[in-house]
Amino acid sequence: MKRRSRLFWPLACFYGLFTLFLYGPISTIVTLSFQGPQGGLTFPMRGFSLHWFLALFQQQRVGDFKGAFLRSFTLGLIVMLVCVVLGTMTGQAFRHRFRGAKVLFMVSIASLVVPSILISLGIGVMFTQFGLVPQWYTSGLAAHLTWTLPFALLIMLAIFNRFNKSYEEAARDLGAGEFSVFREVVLPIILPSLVGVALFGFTLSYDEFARSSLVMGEFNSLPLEIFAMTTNVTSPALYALGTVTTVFSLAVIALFLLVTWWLQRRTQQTRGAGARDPTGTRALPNSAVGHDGFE
Amino acid sequence: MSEYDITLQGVSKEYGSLLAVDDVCLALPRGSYCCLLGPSGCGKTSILRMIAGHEEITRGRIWLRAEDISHLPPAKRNTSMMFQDYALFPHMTAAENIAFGLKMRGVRKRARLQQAEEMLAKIGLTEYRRHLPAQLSGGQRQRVALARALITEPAVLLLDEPLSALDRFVRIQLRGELQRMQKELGMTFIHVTHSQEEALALADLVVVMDQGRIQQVGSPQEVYGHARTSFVASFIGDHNVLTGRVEGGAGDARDPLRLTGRSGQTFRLLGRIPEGQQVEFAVRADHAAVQPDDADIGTDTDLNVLRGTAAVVEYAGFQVRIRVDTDAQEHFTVYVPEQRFAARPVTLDQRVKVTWKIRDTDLLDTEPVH
Repeated sequence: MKRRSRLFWPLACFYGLFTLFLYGPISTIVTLSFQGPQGGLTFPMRGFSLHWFLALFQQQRVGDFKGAFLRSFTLGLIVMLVCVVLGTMTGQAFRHRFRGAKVLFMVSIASLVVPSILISLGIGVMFTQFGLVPQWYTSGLAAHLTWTLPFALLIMLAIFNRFNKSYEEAARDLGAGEFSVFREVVLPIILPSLVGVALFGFTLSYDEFARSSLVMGEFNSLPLEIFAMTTNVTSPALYALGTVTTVFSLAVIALFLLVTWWLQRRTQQTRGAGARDPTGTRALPNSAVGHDGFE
Repeated sequence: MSEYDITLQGVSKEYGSLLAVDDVCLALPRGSYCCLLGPSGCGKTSILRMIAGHEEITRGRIWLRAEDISHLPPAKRNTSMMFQDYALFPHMTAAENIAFGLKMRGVRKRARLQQAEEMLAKIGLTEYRRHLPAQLSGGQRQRVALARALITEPAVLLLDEPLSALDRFVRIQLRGELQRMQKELGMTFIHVTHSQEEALALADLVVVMDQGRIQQVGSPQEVYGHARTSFVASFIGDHNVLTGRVEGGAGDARDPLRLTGRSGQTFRLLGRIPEGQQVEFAVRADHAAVQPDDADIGTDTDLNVLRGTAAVVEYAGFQVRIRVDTDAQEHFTVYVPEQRFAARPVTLDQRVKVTWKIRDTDLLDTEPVH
């Protein structure tokens, strides 16, 4: 057996502590959400039940959980779509060195550096100035995009940075117009990376708080609703809510992983077909071509 | 109908202030295998890409037969390019890659896959139709790229370093296949390479380039046998380039030109150059012989002689390579057939004399052709 380095156990302990630090707070909340009907906001546990999960969907006093969730979910989907579409377009645009590209890039990224609450305030003030009513799908959407679009742009730049231009040239050479080049060649190649952009767009929007705080208008998004509840809900239903939203977030991530896995599997099916073909190497006029070591 | 497939008329390419291609004129006969040969950065790839339409022309015109294609988009030119890294679409199978050009022309799926199937059979990769490029070896990828480029039946095939990514064994095999395919199709191939061996082996017409200019155009025999400039002589290899000052002589066979080399030795060659001028000349390594300094070479007045020291003696199988250095640090390499060397060996650091015929001494141009 390979001998472990002397540092193995200290490093393993450190990593264990780190994991505890990451997941400890969430695990207390998850545990407390299963509190018995007589239980309170703190330990000890008084029994074990799903009481507070049921309360979440029955009682009005915990606030408009369902509405807030649906709003945040829809908003996340819209933000995701806008990020993927605009991100791809801007990513393509930045590949051509146009006038002012550098300035535009700096300005876009600056939006990540400006304190979120100021952006929220700015958007809110502007809407009032122009006599517009702030809504989650207008001012709220705008606030979220100031956060998610720069990230989408950064990811797209990284994707296109690695993109081999000769694929496009080859497609043009074979008679493809610009639209066909994109649809037939560029899009399929970057598709797995776009899943990442989509995931980023959705999750960043779904749990956005500071930028949402002053622009959501009449109805709260989920993070705002949860924050409001912390001040007026005094039962473990609050924890149940935390558990449900966390599980949902994990489910979304799992879904995206599944999509990525499926996209990869699609290509590997062809590999399987080749591996099952025992006559494969004999098809060559000279078998040496098969093992020329260039893989 | 024009007898030339591709004609370049004073073509230049500038990248900012850098002149990559400098006023190149070139006409490639129909059905020829043409190699653009030169070191990296000599402008050979820029020329290929301008013919394909992937690079804008700064000045000049390009004709395909009787059509001016200077400013047409790549899709509208009847050319097809094979890229250095092959640029096979990674998400498409071998068959889909090959059929892509037909798809873009609106050929129905069944018809285009049928044609791709025929191509796959032709390149011997039928069993690999459903493989992705990542699952193919370098040689197989090269063939798929070739099939993909040929399926639309272009007038001219452009190949950008098509063999450089392969190892030696596969390279030589595919080199033969390229040549046979070109002869069978009777199509003009323009092949960019930095390998003189490849160019000599494949081409009907070799175009040697340096610094954006054409140095020499000719058959492999012409280029190898009579290098025009010192650049061509040294790039093609197997040539010795020496300099000398003209001392006199009419320059014909009866009264050859007399030169004094850097080490003060006198050489003779044929050519008309005024007295006092500095010239360069080339001698092929296999056209010279080496013998010990005290050897008797007879009274043959037809020979040039260079004296020096054997600085390198390398056994290379069927021949021995000997580098002779003169006192003025001129280097002269001679290839001696193995058997002749065995009969008259030369040892390291021995004083030797190199001899070659006056008519094997090639006067070089100082100015490249345009």
